[in-house]
Parts: sequence; structure tokens; C-alpha cells
Amino acid sequence: MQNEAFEQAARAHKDRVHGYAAHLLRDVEEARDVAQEALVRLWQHWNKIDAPGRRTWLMRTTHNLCIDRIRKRRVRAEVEGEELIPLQPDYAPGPTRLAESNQLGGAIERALESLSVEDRAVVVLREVQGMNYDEIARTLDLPLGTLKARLHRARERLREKLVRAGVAP
Amino acid sequence: MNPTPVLPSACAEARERMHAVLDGGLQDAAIRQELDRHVDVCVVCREVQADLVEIQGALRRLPSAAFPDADFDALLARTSRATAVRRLRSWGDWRAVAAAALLAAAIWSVWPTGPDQAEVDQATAEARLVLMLTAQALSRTQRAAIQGVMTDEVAPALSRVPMNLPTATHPKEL
Repeated sequence: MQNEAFEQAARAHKDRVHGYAAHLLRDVEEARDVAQEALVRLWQHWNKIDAPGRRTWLMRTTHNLCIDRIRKRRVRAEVEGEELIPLQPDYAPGPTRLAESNQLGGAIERALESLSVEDRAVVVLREVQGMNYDEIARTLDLPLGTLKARLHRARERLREKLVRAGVAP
Repeated sequence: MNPTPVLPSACAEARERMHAVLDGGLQDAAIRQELDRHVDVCVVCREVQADLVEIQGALRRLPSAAFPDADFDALLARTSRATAVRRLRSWGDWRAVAAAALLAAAIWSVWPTGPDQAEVDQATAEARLVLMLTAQALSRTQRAAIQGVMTDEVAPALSRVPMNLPTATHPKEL
């Protein structure tokens, strides 16, 4: 019984989880690992999570796993002098999305990558994934006021970066 | 680092309202009209508003990175295996519990139960007898010890002490 219900929930949320991890980590391999780990944890804690709260729980777990990876990455880079490899957008968007995207899309992605992790998280959850403020606040464990202020500031920063890069929205 | 320029208060207020509109939260028509009036006369704010709207649209159109099907199948296989292992383990646990219960029942059936009242009374009587006999033995031992001391040590000592008692033939002479 749990297997069937879990499969249904995992199928419903897997792309959202993976997409969020991809934006945050800017690394395809790590995003896959994080998504796997988050979904496995969902399965492990299945009986402790009520159905309405599963998406938030999953996104919060994904967020925390990403933050852990980023911290380890920074420590490793400091110790070993590694360069951080930026995300190669080799994931496959659908044809409809490709048709709708324009030059701005590429510039937006680059500008998004240059934001801090904290700012990138709120922009992705709100603008890319379309989550509401309450859910984002629970995912990131932020007060609503702080969350809105961070999103407004992130939008302004994105605009500044685009203007500085000479890309007119 | 260049300091952030301070916006005129009207522009700062307009910026807040722009973000509220983007959030879908600015429902007050009067406030919306004020924003529109400001944007009509402020070129900078008009450009900022247009940019922010365009950026939000572009963000919403960003392609989504789908979780690879192969990875999803591997995840399901992993959780199915773990479920099977969990079932076997719980079956093993049940067998262990049943075996422990049988063993406990077997031990209980042969373990001696506590004494009844008759047995307690018998034991009490025997204990009293033992104590009495022990007391008698101690007493005899003590008398024997005293006798030995008197005979072996005290009497010989007294015999060596000169008493110089007068000799009397008749008690009235003393």
C-alpha cells in the first residue's frame, strides 16, 4: 500500500524537486543525487508526514540537502582550490517551452545563477515554480515579511544585472 | 563600492507598489491608480516597471529540468527492495517473539513456586530449635571455660597465698 501511494506522490513531485535542486546547485549530477535523496527520505518518513504537507516537506528537505551540498562544496574549494563548475543547461525542456523562450531566457538564467543562494531560492520557488508565499515561508522557514522583502530585492538585483550586462528586458 | 542611490519618496513608494502588483496582492483600485499616475509621469519608474514585468514573465517561462526516467525507475526499485527487506525482517522479528514466548512458558511451568503457610511454619519451628540448641551449646561452652579457668589457674593461685588464719578449737574463742 505504501509503495503505490509513494510512487504516486513521487511521480507528482519529482520534477519540481529536481528542477529546484538544479537551479540551486547549478550542477546536473548533484541535482539528480539530491532529488533521489529527498525522495528516498520521503519514503523513509512516509508514515510521519500527512498528505497535505508532503510537498512542503519535500521541498524543505530538498532545500536543506542543497544547502548542505553548497557548504561542502565551498569548504572543498577552499581546501583544494577547486573551481566551481557552473550548471550546463543540458536538461531537456519541452518543445513548447523552447518556442516560447527568447534571448532574454538565457540572460535571465545567467543573472539568476549570479544571485546568492538565498535570493535564488526565493526567486525560483516563487517565479519559476509558482509556489505561494505561505508555502515558500514554510519551505525556507522564513517570516512572511522577510520573504517578501527578499524577493523584491532579488527582482531588483536581477534587473540591475541584466541592465549592466546590456540586456534590455 | 558605490552607495545605493536614495530614491525620491514617491519613487520608493511606487517601487513597493510595483512589487505588490507582481505578487498579485495589490487589490486596492485607488492605490493602483496612484501607481499608474506616477508611472505616467516618471520615466525611470516606467522603465523599471516594464523591466520587472518582463523579467517575471521570462522567469515563468524558464524550462523545467525533469527528473530522468531512469533515475525514477531506480528509485522505485530501491524502495521496493527496502520494503521487501523490511517485511522479511518483521517476519523474523515475529518468529523471535513467538520463540521467546514459548521459552518463557516452558520455564514458568517448571520453576518452583513460592512456599505455602505450612512450609513457613515448619521452617520457623526448625529455626527456633536450631537457635535454642545453639544457645545451650554456647552456655555449656562458657561454663566449661569458666570451670577450666577456676581449676587450672585460680585455685592454684589461691593455694600459694599465705592466709595466716588463727587456729581455734572452739568457735567462741575467736
